[in-house]
Formats: sequence, structure tokens, C-alpha cells
Amino acid sequence: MLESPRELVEPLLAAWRRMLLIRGFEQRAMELVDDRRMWGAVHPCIGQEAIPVGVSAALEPGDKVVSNHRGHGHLLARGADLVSAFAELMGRRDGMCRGRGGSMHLADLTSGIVGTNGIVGGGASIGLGVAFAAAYRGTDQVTVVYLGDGAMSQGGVHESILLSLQWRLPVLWVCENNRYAVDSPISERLPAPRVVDVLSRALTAYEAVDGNDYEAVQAAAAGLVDRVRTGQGAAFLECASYRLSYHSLKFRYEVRPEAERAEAWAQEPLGRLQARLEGLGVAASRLEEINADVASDLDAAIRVAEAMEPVTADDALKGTFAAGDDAVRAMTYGWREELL
Amino acid sequence: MIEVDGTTHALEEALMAEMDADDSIVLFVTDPPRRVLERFGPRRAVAIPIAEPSVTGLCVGAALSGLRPIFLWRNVTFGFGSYDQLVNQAAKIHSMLGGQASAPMVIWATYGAGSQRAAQHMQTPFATYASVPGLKVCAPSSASSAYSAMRQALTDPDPVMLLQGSRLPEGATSFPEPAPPTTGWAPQQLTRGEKLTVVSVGHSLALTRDALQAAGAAESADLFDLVWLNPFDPRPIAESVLRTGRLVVVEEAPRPLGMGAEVVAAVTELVTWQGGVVHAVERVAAAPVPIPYAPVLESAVVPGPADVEAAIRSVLERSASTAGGRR
Repeated sequence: MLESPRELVEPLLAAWRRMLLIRGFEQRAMELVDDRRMWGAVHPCIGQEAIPVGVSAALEPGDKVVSNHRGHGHLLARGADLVSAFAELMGRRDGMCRGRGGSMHLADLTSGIVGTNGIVGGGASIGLGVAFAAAYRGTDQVTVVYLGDGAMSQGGVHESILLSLQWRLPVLWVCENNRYAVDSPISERLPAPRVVDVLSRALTAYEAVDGNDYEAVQAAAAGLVDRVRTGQGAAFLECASYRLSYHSLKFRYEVRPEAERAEAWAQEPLGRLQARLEGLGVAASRLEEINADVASDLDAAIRVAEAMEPVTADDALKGTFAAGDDAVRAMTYGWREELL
Repeated sequence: MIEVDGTTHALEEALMAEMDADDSIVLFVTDPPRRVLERFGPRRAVAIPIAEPSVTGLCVGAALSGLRPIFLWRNVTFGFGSYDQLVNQAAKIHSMLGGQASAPMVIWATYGAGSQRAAQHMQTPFATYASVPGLKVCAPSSASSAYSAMRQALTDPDPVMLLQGSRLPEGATSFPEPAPPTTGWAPQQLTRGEKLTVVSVGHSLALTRDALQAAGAAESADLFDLVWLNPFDPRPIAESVLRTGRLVVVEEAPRPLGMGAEVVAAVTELVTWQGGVVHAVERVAAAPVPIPYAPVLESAVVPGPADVEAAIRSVLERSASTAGGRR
């Protein structure tokens, strides 16, 4: 078969590479937890990789992203540094957040990732503020706020969406509808299986797409981002997907029907994009080469991160206030002075 | 000299002075103060819906993006729904992000009893906020102290709650322009004496001064004005108690677990470490009941001048034979 035009294939290959990177990152994070080389909670986004990669393809370098607890993919899709991310997960002093944040609080302001968040729906109002600041300054920056369908039960999320519409702020709300809020199916939480059907009377611009179809996500995001960027107000993109892993590695059990999970695996986004690329005539050897490259990048990043200096107890009382550590020193008046 | 007509006016003056100096300051409130709106327009004095949780979070996001939002909640009671955004987001951002950014925002709210609006609207939740690591909390003690606190809050790189007490004076007053941007939060010693140490928290200062006069103890007390509840530096107070051995703390927040409890605990730790003795302690605080409506009930629950005077007399009467706190 003839290779399709470069301008079609190359962006799809780049997207597939990025999706592989996200999945490989999540798989390795799970291994690091198993090996006790990192701690705490990890909320893998395996199965949902097409969404941040498709959305990010529609963004400009200066745009901002506000993420949530399942946020590794959101960061990596925007090009956050792999070593810095792994170093954070492994509690290194030069980790992304100096070992104080961990998986649920990864943030990389240099990549425009204003924060991930351990509170469901906690990023919604923060994203509203990031967009407010952009509007106040008169920039054409777009803010993407990622929400799960679980966050749609949070009152503050609805307040934030309504204010973004009322004030025509430059926000693209991206709802990754993976059908479960921890263990609770959407049918037990919302009056319709699609979030846009719950919100549509309020929304002025929205789309609901198959979130496992990279090209569908990318196309819908591009259209909505363009609207938002040109001052037409906030928009909402719902991407139907499925979380293929546990909710969190802290709680390894499964309540979802096995048949449902098997069906979801058959629809998973990496395989679908790979099939599309093969259909476009990309050689299997090229795909294997990319796969091997990504694995080697990830393994190298872990090696570098693990060799970095770990945080120590001496760092424990530092960095609470931007104004410096005097305030904490005053309030510990000597009993922890050795740590400052 | 700064001439103002009461504390609210002083706070607005300080806000407008900082807004003049820094165009990243934006005020959010359901009903913008007329003078601020006239001077800065709706772009910088933003009228919001009654949506404290999302607008508090909005302030966090705007602060992370280079603005300096100030959110006037009006009564502190309207902010409890925003506790999540303050505690889980604003207060933790700088630490949690490893210092990549902070949330320099100000929450301005009124607190305190005295106008019979009952349990929800007459609260003094000092400990609720001052116990949150990463959140700075100040409760000024006068119009001039409020003016300085507002200017300091609006130039601080961290999130600050400015609590405006219901007992702060609303009459005309004037005071000198404070020294350029202060960053201090240590307790201020206002008078010096040898017999007892008195700490007034927030708007209880005038009441405490009156009580010292009534008890005939104005000349014999080290009087401290505690405006900043977090950060809280107990060291100057402990130095004083090492001399006097007697401590009275006055606040309008309820016991248990109030700011008074923290002052007593920290000062006792420091004094006893030094080999000193705290002979007598009185903690004047509101009773642990929701503030009731009827005036006679309200004043029975909230500390008044007689309560403070009784506390001062009590510590002076006790351990009268023991001079000084140092063994």
C-alpha cells in the first residue's frame, strides 16, 4: 500500500507516540508503587490517553491547563519534563514540586500546567480564575480545565461553569466521561448518561465525542478552542471514554462488570489509532521503532530521576510561605529549628 | 496624616492606595463599595453573584496567574462554603507546588457579635482559619491598625485573611501614614509594666484597655496587641511573662481551642523551658455556644469589660506573694 501524505500521517504518528508515552508512564508508575520506589496514591489514566493528546493538539504554547487527580496524561500531553515528573514521584529534591506534591499535585508552570488537584472538582474554580486573569490582561490565551464525570456532582463546578458562561471567559471545559466516579456508575449520579445533556440548556457551545477516537477529539477540540480564543465565550467538550485500570492503586479491587471492561479494552484508543495508521500504510516496522523509542525514553528518565538526590528531613519545614521560612520558625520557636 | 471616618473607611482607603500602585489588584464582592467602584470602575471592582466557593477558587487561579485578587466576603459566615478553596488550594499551593507559585490573594471579612444578628452572623472563627498551615490571618485592633494590615496584606506574597472586627471604631479619626510596606507580624507591645502580661487579640483592644483602667492595672501591665494570628510569634510575650508570671489573654472567639489557648500553650512552653513559672493564667473567650439573638443572651456569652476586668483582678490577686516569673 502507498504511504499516505506526510501531512496526514506525521501528526497522527506524533499523537500515537505521545499516547504511548502516557500509557508507558502510567505502567511504570504502577511498577514503581509495587516496588515501593514511590508512595501514596496513583490514579492511572490508562484508556483515556487520546483525550489530553487530542485537546493539546488544538492548543498554543501559551495556553494553560488545569488538571485533576488523574492528571499525569494532561501534563505529559503538554510536554512536561519526564525526568522532573518521575523525580517528583520518587521524592527527589529537584522533582517537579521538590518532593512536596507527589502524583496528585504535579504541576509544571513552565509548561502551562497550573496544577493537578487532589480534590474532585477542585480545579474548576481555579481554572475560572486563570481564565479571568487572561481576560483581564486582554490576552488570547485559552484555559483548559479537565474534569471527570464524577466532578459534575460538585456544586462548585456548576458555579464555575455558569460564571464562565455569564462572563464569557476563555475556558474550554473538557469532561472526560469515564462513566465511573470511583465505583459509582454515572446512572446512579446524573439524570442523563451524557454530561452535555445535563448541562445543554446552559451551554452555548459544546460537543460530545468518542474520547477513544483521537481524530474526533482533536477535531472537536480545535473547533471549540478556536471559538474560545476568538472571544465567543466558554465552551464544553465531553469525551466518552473508560478507565481501564483501577480508580487508584491504593484500592485494588474491581466492581465493574468483566464483560463491560472487556468491551472497553476492545475500544481502547492506542489500538484504534494504531489500526488507523496501519490503514494509512504506515509500516509495522516504523510503529515498532516508535514503541521501542518511547520505552527507552521512559526507562532512561526513571534511571536519571532515581539517581537524583532524595529529599531529607532537613527540607521538611521549608517552603510553606512564599515570604520565607521565618513565620514557620516563629511558630515552632526552636523545637524544630534544626530542620530549618 | 491619614484622615478616615471609621475602620471600614480606613480599609477602603488602604485598598484604594494599593490599587493605585498596582493594577493587578482586583476587588471581587457582591456589591462593590461605591467609592472603589467610582474610582476604579467595574473592571477592577467586580460585582459577583452570590457564589463564594467558586469566586474564592477564582481568586486562587487569578493569583496563580499574576493577579492580586481581593475578595470581600462581607460577613465571615458567608465564607464557610469556601473553606475548601482556602484550605485545600490557596493555603497549600506554595508548598505543594514546591515553590513554583504562590496565591497572593486577600480575603476580607467581618466578624464579631454586637448587632443581634444571632448565631450565623455573629461569629468569631479565629482558630478555624489561624490553625491552617499556609494561610496568614490578621485581625486588626483599630482603624490605623486596619489600614496598615490592609496595605501589608495586599503586598504579601502569600494568601492573607483580613478579619475586620465588629467592635472596631467607626468614628472619624486620623493617624500618621504608616512606615512603608511593613512585613511584620510580631505582637506589638503597647504598654510596659511589672505585674502582669495582657494579650488582646483582634478587636478586643479597646475593651481590654478599658478593663485595665477599671482594674487600676494600666500602669502595671505589659499590654500586647495581637493583630497577626498566623504567623504567631509567642517569643515577645514569653519574655514578658518571664518577668511578670501572670498572663491574661482576651479574645472574642469561643473556647475551646481558640487563639487564647495557643497563646497560653506556646508562652507556657517557652517560659517553663527557661526555668520560669507561670503563676496565674486567665483566658477570656466567648462561651462555647452559638451566639444567641436576644441582647441579654448575647452579652452573657460574649466577653465584655466586666469579664476582662475580673480576669485581670483574678491574676493580680493570686500568687501575690510571688514576684516575677523567673525562679
